[in-house]
Order: sequence, then structure tokens, then C-alpha cells
Amino acid sequence: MAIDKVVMMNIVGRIEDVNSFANQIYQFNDLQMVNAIDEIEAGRFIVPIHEDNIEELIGISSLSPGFDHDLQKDVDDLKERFQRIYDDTLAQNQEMTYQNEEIEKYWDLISRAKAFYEEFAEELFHIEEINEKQKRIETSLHSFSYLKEIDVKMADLKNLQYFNCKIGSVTKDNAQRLKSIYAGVTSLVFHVGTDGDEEIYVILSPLGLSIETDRILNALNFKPLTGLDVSYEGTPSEIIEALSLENKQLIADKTSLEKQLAEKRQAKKHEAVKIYNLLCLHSKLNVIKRNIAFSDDNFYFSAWVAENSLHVLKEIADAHQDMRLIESMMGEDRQPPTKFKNNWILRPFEYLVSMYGTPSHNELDPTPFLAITYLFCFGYMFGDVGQGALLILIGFLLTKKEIALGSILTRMGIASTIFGFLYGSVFGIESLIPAIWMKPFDDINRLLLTAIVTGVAMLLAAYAYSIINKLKAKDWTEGLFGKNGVAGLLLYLTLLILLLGSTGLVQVLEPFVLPGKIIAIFLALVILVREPLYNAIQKRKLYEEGAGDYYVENVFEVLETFLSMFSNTVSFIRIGAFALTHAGLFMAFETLAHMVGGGVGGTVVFILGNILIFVLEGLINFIQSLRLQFYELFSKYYTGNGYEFVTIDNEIKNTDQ
Amino acid sequence: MVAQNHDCLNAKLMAANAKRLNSKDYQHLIKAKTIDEIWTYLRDNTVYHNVVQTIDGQSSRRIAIERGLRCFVPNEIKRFSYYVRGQERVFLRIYGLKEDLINLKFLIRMLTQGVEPQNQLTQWYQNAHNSILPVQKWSEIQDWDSFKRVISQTELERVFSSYHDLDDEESVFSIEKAIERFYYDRLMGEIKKLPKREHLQLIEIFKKEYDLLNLIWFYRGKRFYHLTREELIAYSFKGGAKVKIPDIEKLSDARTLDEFLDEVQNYPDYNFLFPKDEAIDLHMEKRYERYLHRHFERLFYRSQNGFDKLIAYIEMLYIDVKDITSMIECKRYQLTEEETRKYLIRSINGNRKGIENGN
Repeated sequence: MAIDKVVMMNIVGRIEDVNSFANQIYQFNDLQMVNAIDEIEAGRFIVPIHEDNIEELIGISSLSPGFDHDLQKDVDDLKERFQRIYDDTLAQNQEMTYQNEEIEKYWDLISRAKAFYEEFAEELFHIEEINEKQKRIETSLHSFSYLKEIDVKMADLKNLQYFNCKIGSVTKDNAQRLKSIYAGVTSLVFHVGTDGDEEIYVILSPLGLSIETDRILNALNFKPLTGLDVSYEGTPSEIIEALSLENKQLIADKTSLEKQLAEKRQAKKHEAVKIYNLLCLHSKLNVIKRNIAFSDDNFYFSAWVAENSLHVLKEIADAHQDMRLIESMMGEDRQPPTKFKNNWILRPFEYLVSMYGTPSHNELDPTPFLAITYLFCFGYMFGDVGQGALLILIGFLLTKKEIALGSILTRMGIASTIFGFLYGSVFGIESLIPAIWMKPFDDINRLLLTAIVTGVAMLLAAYAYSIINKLKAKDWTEGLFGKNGVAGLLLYLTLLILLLGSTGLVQVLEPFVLPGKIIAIFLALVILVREPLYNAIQKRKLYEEGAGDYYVENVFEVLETFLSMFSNTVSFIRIGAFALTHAGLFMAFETLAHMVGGGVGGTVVFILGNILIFVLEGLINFIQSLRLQFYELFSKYYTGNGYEFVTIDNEIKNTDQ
Repeated sequence: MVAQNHDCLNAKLMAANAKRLNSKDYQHLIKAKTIDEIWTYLRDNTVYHNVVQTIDGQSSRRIAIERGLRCFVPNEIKRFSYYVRGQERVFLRIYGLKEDLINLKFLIRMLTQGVEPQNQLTQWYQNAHNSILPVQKWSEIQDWDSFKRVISQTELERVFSSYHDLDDEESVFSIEKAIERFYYDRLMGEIKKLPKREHLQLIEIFKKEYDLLNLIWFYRGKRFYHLTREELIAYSFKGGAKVKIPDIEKLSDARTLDEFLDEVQNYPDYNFLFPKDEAIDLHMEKRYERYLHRHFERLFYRSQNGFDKLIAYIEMLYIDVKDITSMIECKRYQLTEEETRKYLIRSINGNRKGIENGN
């Protein structure tokens, strides 16, 4: 079936075991957590009434959620500090495992991590201090650079007896306004430089007119230059020289400190990695704890787990004292998540299935059928050994980069290569290898007919899937008498016999034409009256919403059934048509290559043609194959109303995002 | 630059313009007996039906009503912005900042009065279009310091960098003028980037608007604020059609108001702002708005350029909002129909004589 059966399980344990339990659950990974408080409130998490369970039963009355923001803040803060020490080079090691004792001692870990950081704190503090100083000096150097032509001590400039000196900038727009009012301003205005959109000025104004000057400068959005600290002594050039020297000294100090820090860091790297990974682990365990409910003495945990993995959960529970595994009181109306169970060949196609919808728990997983038919259709349309190999290579590279589409592309490449051998085509050249089956243009009718026959086979399989799905969902009306049920399948088969018999394509079927017509009419009537028919069998009211409405709607539906049977079948002709297009395009580029006289020009045309066909046709065939799946086949048998089983690592990943 | 094809925009604008308030709507609104009646009419018969529901027309002050109704305009700017691209789209973004900066001025007023700005801000900013303000951090604004903190890292930081506090009316006035100058400088920057041949009429109208704004500013600066020549120049706008930098210097040199009014006679196109036989102050703003409305209306109906039409349409919407607000105010003060008409910018009954004269 390719879908694992999952059950909801509840666990009650002692609060002191929660960290080691959460760690084991995290290692196990293959379960989907559910908020335990919700389960208890919904009456599905029931602790059996027994004298051994008194504490657990009492605890249920005073539950609190398991997530402590302060604890998480501590962990995040420490993780950040560790990264600061190691310049963001610490990486999580997913393979690292820990003893239960290490995980249980949470507060010891926090103390250890803090103590570890303290060993580096002094050096880090000094480096940060130097960075701050450097930043200040750089600002000052930048500001003083505008004044280096002024051969006056800054202190003298600041302490003029009758004048006030202002150094700052206005925007370019306002600089024009300032020019317009030069004449009226009772100040000396010197333009000393430009900084992006700002014009820098030195303005000297009489002390007695400072209020008026300030008002004007204010109106022009005059912004004083920063970094012209009064404590700097000497002329601007002298200050620049002194600051540059100071900066050099700071760089030397910083280099020396960083060297010390690097040595210390290297010596302690092993311990740092260990602590950092433990902190990361606790971050993850905190995500698990968000779903756990806590009383004073116990914790309560709920999760969906695959029935065949139940023994792992049991082993975890058995490994802890007083830990109990309880089956959830799950009502029939509760839909469990869908856990795919496909082998590595089919697994990538779960991605395509999920694009349409996740199968519900009582539905057949369409992944195997989709994978086989999808690859067949794509290979049929895009059969070429060279381009197939290229697809395999691209798919392999994408898989390396953990891109989901990569593994699908690899498989599509394999299908394309196989059909390439069948067609005898390598990068469109049909003379390099012999065709095992045939070259597409050698027998066009055969190519198109094979496409339709394959389509019919796929549609028959889709009917079979649909019947099983509907019967599993106990939808007897549609399963037995519906257009995609048994009646629909029989009608489709009858119409095929009629077509083959009446056109003389299969002479042995000719005697079945007349009875076939009668059966087809009968089956169409069955589909039309399916609801009253089933209700009559069940001895219920024939029509739920009135006979008139029912027949108006269903007459059209029966007509639509005939049309869709025809259109769905003919639709598969496209895979043959695209195979012809593929070969035809190659031929066109081959002719173009000959027309330019072969040689370098011909090779360029040939390569460009291959690239164009690979990209354009590859994309079109990818989409067309998917369209056949989603529209012609899925619409018959698949609803995709389920929801996906989210393992713990995915839940943690989602929470991090 | 390749001329953009605005056929679709033209068609959409004509349709949108057909939904604007017409003379019949104006008649209804003027004749309404109560504010409630105006409100009901706007809600049931006009494009303002959505925004009207968010305003309490009875109890709100003029400013709140006008701000509420103006929320309609940014939505229209947003709607039509999808039909333009390139420099025109950039221009539209800067042009749309007008709303942002008006809101900013109100916010600063509220901060000076110690009023909690959050409620008003939420209403104004639910329609914020292309806002350059960090609207998501708005809730952090409690006082001037927090305002400056929130505004830092935006284009506006430079405007406020030299203001350390909001301690007096003079600072607030100065900040408001700095905001206006920022907007009009930015807008002129974008106007200059528009292809001249394609947008000749639009650029001319904007330049005339700058002239008028400068003349009004000089008049008020001399009449009410007694500002120095330097302050008048510092807050003037560059880029006008006739009032250029030498003119600005000359006009600001006028020592008295009479000297200034004599100097203004050299700009006959703008004489209508300062009629000799009428009170200048009372209707100066209206004269300015009527003049612009006349030009934008003409631009809308005559221009083949969809972008120019769009700007004209938006400007006409602003005028409609101002007129609605005036009608509500007139109703509040129980003015007669005839008196109410004097306070309107648009002419009704097709009588354009007054407008042509700039009255």
C-alpha cells in the first residue's frame, strides 16, 4: 500500500526523566508530536484508574505547558556567545550522541557553558573596546580630513574670544540656498569639502549674532560634523597624525589579543564543540518539550507513531522507571497523518504526489503508479541517450545540493536514456547506434498507436485504483455504480470493444458489437440512477434532494462521462506526438548544421540546437507528463485530502524557520 | 526613453473619473440639511463609501475628516501604479509621499501636544502606499526621542537630525517647513528626470505650483511670522517657472509687506493671489487651489498622455476631498448654500467664470 498505518500513543513519565526521554525521542525521530494538553482536554489521553497511577491522575488536574521561554533564551544567548568566541565557525554535529547523564544535567551544562565563556570574556571585551575606539578614530580622521588645510589649533578655533566656529554639513539642495544668502549672513562661510550628498562648511560668526546664525543654520538643516572631539589637541594635521598613530597602536594591540585568543580557542576547541552541540541539542529538546504537558511530578507526551515502530517507543518507555505507554482513546472520526512507505527508487516521487495533495490514510498511495507511468511518458517523449545522460548528471548535482527535484531528474534521465536506446538516438544523431525498437519517424502510426494503447492501460489501472479507494472509503454508490467505479470501468471496456469491433481493427470482436451497445446503454443508465439504485438496495429514501434536480445534474454528468472517456484516451496521443516533435526538432537542427556547411559553424548550430531542445522540450515534456498524471489519471482516482506525517526533525526545522 | 503606451491607463482613468463627484453630487451635498445627511449620501452614492464608514463625521474635527477621506487617494495611487513603469513609476512613488509627510506633520503636532498618536496612526496607515516611514515600528513612538529613533535609517533621518527637541512652537514650525522642503526638493528631482517633450504640460503646472507656493510662503513669512530674508530663502522651493533663484532673492529683499506686494506686480500671472480690492488672507489658499484645479482639469481632459492624466486625476481627487470637508464644516457652522459655495474649490453648475479669474 506504501502508506504506513499510524496510531496515536500517549506516554506518562517522571519529570526527572524528561530530558533523557526527549533525547531518545529525538534520536528515534520517526513520530509526529501532538500537543499533550490538547489531547488531555479532548479526553483522548486517559490514564487508567489504578492505585499505581494515583500521582499521574492527580497531576492531570494541574497541568502546565512545557515550554520555558527563559530557559530557551539562556540557551540561545549562550549559543550566540560561543559563536562570538569562534567567529561563527562552530557547526552543529548531527552525528554526535550523548549519555543520558549528560543530558539530564541541564543546569550543569548552563554553568559549564557560562564558565567557558568567562575564560574568553576579558579578551573579547578588550577586542570590542578596541573596535569601538577604532570606529571613533575613523570617524574623527574622516572629519579632520576636511580641515587639514587649516593651520590653527582646534582649541584656539573652539575658544575664539569674539567668534563662534561651527563645522558641519548641509545637503546639496540646501547648499544652493546657503549660496543665495551669503550676502545677508553675518558670518564667514568656508566650503571645505563634499561628502556624498553633503557639502561641508566651516562657519565663523560673531558671538553677539550667534542666535540669528543658529536660526539660519537650523533652517538649512545644518548638521555638525561628528568626531571633532575637543580633547584632541593641536592643528587638524597634527591631530590626524596623532590619531593615525593611535590607530596603528590599536591595530597592533588587537592583533596581539587576537593571536592570544586564537591559541586559546584552538586549545579549547574540542570542549567548545561538545558544549555547543549540547546547547544545540537542548534547543531541539525544547521544541519537543513545547508539546509535552507537565504536572509537579510527571510529564505527559502524545504522538502519532507507525504501528511497526511501536516497539521502539515501548523500549524507550521500558528503559525508564515508572514510564507508561498508553494507547489513545481515538475516535473513528479522527484522521491520522499519512506516513509514506516507499523504497528509495520511488521516494522522490512523493514530492510530485504532495504537489497535488497528500493521500488520506484510507487511500492507496499513488506514488508507485505515478512513478512508473510518469517515467514511461517522459522517456517516450524525450528519448535520447545523450540528453538523458545529461539529465542524470544534472539530477545528480542537484541531489548533492539537497534539492528535491534532483533525484526525480536523475530518474527521468534514466528513462530518457532507455528510450534513447530504443529509438537509437544520441544527441539527436540517429546514425551512431542502432534503434532497438524503432526510429520515431520510421513508423509514425505505430508510435502514436502505442501511445494510445499505453494510455488505455494507464486509464484501466486508474479505474482499478479508483474502485479500491472508493470501496476502502466505504463509498459504495460511487465504488460500484459511479462513473469511476465498477460500472464506469465496465462501460469504458465496453466502449473499447465497440470501437475496436465496429471499426474492424480487431475482427474477433465484431460479433460483440450489438450486445456491446445494449450493455453500454445499460451501464450508462446504472451510472445515471446510481444514487436511487443504491438507496433502493439499502431501503432508504430514493432521492436526497429531489428527483428533478438529481436527473438534471446527472444526465449531464453521464454525457460528460462519455466525453471524458474519449478525451482522456485521446489525450495520451500527445506522448507520441511529443516524441515526434523531439525527433523532428533534432532533424531541423541537423539540416541547419548542414546548411551552414558543417565544420565549426555546423557544430555551433548543432550544440545550440541541442541546448534549446534540452531546455525547452525538457521543460515542456516534464509539464506534459505531470499534466497527464494530474488531469487524466489523478482526477479519476485520487483525492489527496490527507495531511503529511511530520517527523520530529522536520518539526524542529519548521519551528526554527 | 521609449514612450509608454498608456491606452489602458487612459481608459481606466476615464472610467474612474466618471465615478468622481459630479455637479449633481455637489448640489445634493450642499443642499443636505445635516452632516448625517452628507455622510449618508457619501456612503450610499459615491466612491467614498468605504472610507466614510471609518470616520465619525458628527464628532470628528475638520482635520480628522479630511485625513480620513484622503485615505481614498493612496488606494487610487496604488491601483493605478501598476499601469506605469520606469521613471514614471519612480515619480509616482515620490509624488505619493505627500500623504506620508502630511501624516508626519500631524504626528509631530500630536507629540508636541502630548497626545497619544497610536489610534490616529493606525487609521492613517492602514492605507499606507509605498510609505517611506517604518510603519511597522510605529507603535514604538511615544515622544520625540523615540520618534527620532524610529525614523533613523530612513531617508528622513537627515531632515530631523539637527532638531534635538520639540520644546517650542518655533521648533515645530521649523520642522514642518523642513519636511515640506524635503518633499518638494525630492519631487523636483523627479520632475527633472521626466522626459520633457512627453510631459511638457504636467511639468509646467508643477513649476507654476512651486511659484505659487513660494509667493504664498513669502507673503505669510512677512505678514505673520516676521521672518528674516535668510529664513525666507532657506525655506523656499527651487525649480519654479517664473520665480527663480534671483526672483526669490529679490522678493525676500522686500522690507515691508507693501514693498513685497509691489514686487509681486511683476508677476502678472500670479496677481490673482493678492487682489487689491479684496481681503487677501481669507481666500488666498482657495485661489491657489482653484488655479491648480483649473490647470489639472484642463490637463486631464486635453492630454493624451495617460501618466499626465493620472496625476491630474489624483490632484482632482484631493480637491474633491477638500470640498467635501469644507461642505461638512459649512454645515457645522450652519452657513447658507450661497455662503458654502464660496468656500468650494470646484465650480458647480458649469460656472467657470470665477475660476478663470482666479477667484
